[in-house]
Amino acid sequence: MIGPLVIVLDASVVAAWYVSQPASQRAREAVPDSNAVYAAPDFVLADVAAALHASGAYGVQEVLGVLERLQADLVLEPISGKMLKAALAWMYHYGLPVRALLPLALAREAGAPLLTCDRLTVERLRDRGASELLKDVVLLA
Amino acid sequence: MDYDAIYRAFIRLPADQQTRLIFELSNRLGVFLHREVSGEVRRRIQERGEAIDQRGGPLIGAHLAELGAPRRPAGETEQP
Repeated sequence: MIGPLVIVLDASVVAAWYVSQPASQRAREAVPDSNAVYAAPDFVLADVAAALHASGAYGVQEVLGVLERLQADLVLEPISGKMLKAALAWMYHYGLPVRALLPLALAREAGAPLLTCDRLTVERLRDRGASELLKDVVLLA
Repeated sequence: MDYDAIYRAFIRLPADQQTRLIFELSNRLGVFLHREVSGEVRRRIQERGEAIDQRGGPLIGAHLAELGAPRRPAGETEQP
């Protein structure tokens, strides 16, 4: 059985839902309520909280409300040793931050596409010849 | 329809644009295309997704509609 579609999100997509940026509309349109299951590494909550705080547009209670909603609607996955090993290998090979690569490690582990608005990471992967990794990436920005 | 020509055009796209196109088509048509993986992580995510479905499904869209438009960062003015 294949089961429902799994879509992995990173913090850049979730932050774009809440803080206005050029990719916000696409980020919202990309997650219609449907049979898909939306998953993300569990540390995404901390990254989203940081992004909302940095925007200056959300108070602490509002950020708490957002995080509670995300906990209810997303499948938040812990980083396994296997994912960490893959992300570390890519970090050393491609010279990118491991935090930016962990969502991709989760996506590959789950056989799922990764939605991201992180153009910088995608362009660096492309420039550094990581075409194989980019097969799993959907850049919304 | 020249399906071979479409396929040849598709495989000339960069890898990430191939994935983007598949995702866009899937999302708009409601027919999802994805690789079949029988891994533990995928199974666990799907099971937890089913638990979310039993509570009424992921209501991200409804949640975002309640919130209204994304908020502009503090100090940023609207572009004319």
